[in-house]
Amino acid sequence: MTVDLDTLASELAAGEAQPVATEPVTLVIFGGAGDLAHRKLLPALYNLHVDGLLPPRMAVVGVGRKDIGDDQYREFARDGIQRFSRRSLDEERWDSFASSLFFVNSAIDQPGVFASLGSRLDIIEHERGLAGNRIYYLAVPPALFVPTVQQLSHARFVAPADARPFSRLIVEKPVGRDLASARAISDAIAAVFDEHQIYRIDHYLGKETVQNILVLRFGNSFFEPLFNKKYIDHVQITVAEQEGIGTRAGYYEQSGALRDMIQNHMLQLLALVAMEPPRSLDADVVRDEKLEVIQSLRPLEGEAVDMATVRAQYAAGFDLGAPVPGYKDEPGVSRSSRTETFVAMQVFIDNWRWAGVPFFLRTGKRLPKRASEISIHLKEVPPILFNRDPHRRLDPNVLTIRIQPDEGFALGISSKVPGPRVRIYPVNMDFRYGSTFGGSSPEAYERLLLDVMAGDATLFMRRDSVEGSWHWITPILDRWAEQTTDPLPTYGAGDWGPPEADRLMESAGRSWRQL
Amino acid sequence: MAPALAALWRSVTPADIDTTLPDLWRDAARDSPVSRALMSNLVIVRHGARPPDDEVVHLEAESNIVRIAERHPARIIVLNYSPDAGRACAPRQATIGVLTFGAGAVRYGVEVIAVDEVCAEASVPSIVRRLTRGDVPTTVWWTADLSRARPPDPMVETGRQFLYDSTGWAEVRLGAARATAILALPHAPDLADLNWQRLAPLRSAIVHGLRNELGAGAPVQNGVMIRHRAGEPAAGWLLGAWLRRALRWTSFPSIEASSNDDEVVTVTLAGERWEMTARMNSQRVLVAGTGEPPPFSIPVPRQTVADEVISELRSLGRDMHLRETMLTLAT
Repeated sequence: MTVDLDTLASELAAGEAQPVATEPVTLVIFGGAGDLAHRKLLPALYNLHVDGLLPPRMAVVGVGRKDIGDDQYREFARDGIQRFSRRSLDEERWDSFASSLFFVNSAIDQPGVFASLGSRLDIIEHERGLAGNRIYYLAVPPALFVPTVQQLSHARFVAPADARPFSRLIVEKPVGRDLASARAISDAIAAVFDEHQIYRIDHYLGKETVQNILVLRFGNSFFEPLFNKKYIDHVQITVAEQEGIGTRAGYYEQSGALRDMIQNHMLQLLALVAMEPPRSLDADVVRDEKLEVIQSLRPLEGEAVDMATVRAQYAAGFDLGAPVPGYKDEPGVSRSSRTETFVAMQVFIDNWRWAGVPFFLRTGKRLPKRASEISIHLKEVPPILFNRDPHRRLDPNVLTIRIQPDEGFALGISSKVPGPRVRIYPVNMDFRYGSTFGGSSPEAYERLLLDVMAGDATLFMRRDSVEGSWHWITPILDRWAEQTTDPLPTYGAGDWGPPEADRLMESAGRSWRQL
Repeated sequence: MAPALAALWRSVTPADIDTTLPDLWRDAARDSPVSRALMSNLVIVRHGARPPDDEVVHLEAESNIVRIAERHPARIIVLNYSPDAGRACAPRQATIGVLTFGAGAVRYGVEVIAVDEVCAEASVPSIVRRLTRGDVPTTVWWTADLSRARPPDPMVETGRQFLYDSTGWAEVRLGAARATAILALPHAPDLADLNWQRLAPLRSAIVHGLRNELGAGAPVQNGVMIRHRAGEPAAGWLLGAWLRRALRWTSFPSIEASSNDDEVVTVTLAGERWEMTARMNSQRVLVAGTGEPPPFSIPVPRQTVADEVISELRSLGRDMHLRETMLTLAT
């Protein structure tokens, strides 16, 4: 009996550590000489290469307006890795990685340029023995999403869904400015790519701690029974940024904190915390359950927006003691700007599990520190026994999931202080990725790029989820757009937001957790 | 008691504190495992102090810091705060350290961060907020005389507990007014006064004497006399306010300095046909009445400042007696 080649390969591979993605592939990065590629994508690819997780045959082709050749692009990549990679650069590994990097100078919004791009890709793929599997990464401004996809279509760069070799598309957020524009972009992309070929990246979903939310909830028997209205008092989700807008005024003036953070990252985190147990870990099953949460959000419209949301803009203040300018003094920002750099809101999920449990979301720029966490506050114990003194109330138990920095989670509990008297002190049972597993965790983009190569869409946003988020967000944007004369609250740089955010919490009988 | 202390220190710019601390922890764990212990944040504010020439030498010589770190593992943040309204400047330098205690499986470490001269009041909160860990309680320890120097409100509000020592207050009523102003802040912390804690044995002895043995009815008007050691008027005034509030008097009892340096404070209470005197020194409180039964005494705990601070750090919760005493004293 003869054994065919595939069977032989499978037999030999059994028990061997294999790269997760094995199919040869060409990764074409539109915007390949841009900031995202420099800081995130190229360092992520390098780390995957060092870990032996990339397909054995692969090419990375940057496409952009910069007039540079392959060698200069490799220098650009080397600089990005040296500055931003979690690992220092190893010369031997670098040489083998650099040989897979190429650059094509091309203005993607100009007609006809894809013909020359196609020729170059064909040559690279032929020389490197690549079969024609391609992943197109849109690391370009949102305005170029649709023109780029249309060019890909006109140049016949896109294989049909389920065809071999495959074509896949990675789309960076933001997808749209509101529901209508998100739909328009999605329609244009859907005219070229099937939904199963599209990977909408939200890099938060690639972070280890975020992936661990499902493990925490559904891989342990003592958390999940508590995740409901009977035991949970409220949930806080905070994404705090210490930086101002830097050089991103052009983008941020059009975006603001609601679009930049809440519509995507924070609603996705909310969905992971609140979703029902999926029946399997298949991508669409998990994404169905997340969508259920998004669709169960209580609508905020009209005056309800005013009651449940706070927006503000940072004024001049301090960053670790050093004076920093206010938002309107940042380069490129209009003096009359009403763009919010801070949002706090109270949200309800109108389903059986979470009825009546408030979820508080808070995000902003120029806050005291860079910190993202989800804190799940359990209800207080009854005011008897150890909690009977009204002046010495016990701290309620809090489960905190730290997303960054210092990834991990902590469970706040009450404990007796050693000694003859009964004194209770809040202590943490603390798990830290860094000290528990050692070394540095993979960056979010490493995991996400690998998943696209392997065709696993679990950690990516589906069209209905993106549009579901916009469906919920758009009435808030509309309400704010109507309020053109009301003064926008401000907060000093280095503060935890405006007093209005504190009042939002106080009106709900709670207080923001300090980070 | 942990047998050994080892310390690793590094001098960094403030912006590099967060990124350098993990390196220190890795170095601390190079030879044997070490657990990061963290029960709270303790922000020690050295008001008006220029940073020492050698902060490491200074911190290691500061026995209170080491003792506190050992027995109540807190992230200790030392701010050398020299307000100068004329100039706004950011701190240029910081000293970070990891102190380790114990050995083997129970070896644990504590972080210490000392920030050099902080001169702009407005810049202090952004430093404190950045350096404190939000998931544990924060205590701000104001080491200066509160009656002479007022802490910035936003810094005070970052803490769950505001710790001070009224022992050496130059102007007691002003110090009390400032303490009660803190209670009126929107995010008011709880007050913790080391002097109030030291007087606890005396208060306890007075209560015991009145309740069980020596008293026979309430003191008459002007029947309370408090004498405090010279230079420590706050002890007398705290007790005066405590008694005034309890007796519902409209004025303070007689409070005066004593020439007897042995006794920290002496309280005499007199009724229609009785008199009781409680004398507190560093060893004991001695309570004697005019007739039967015989005097009794209770010991005064022998505590270092570090012991007293640790006791306060572990006593989260609102001390209503201190609060109301301060309010009485401030009126």
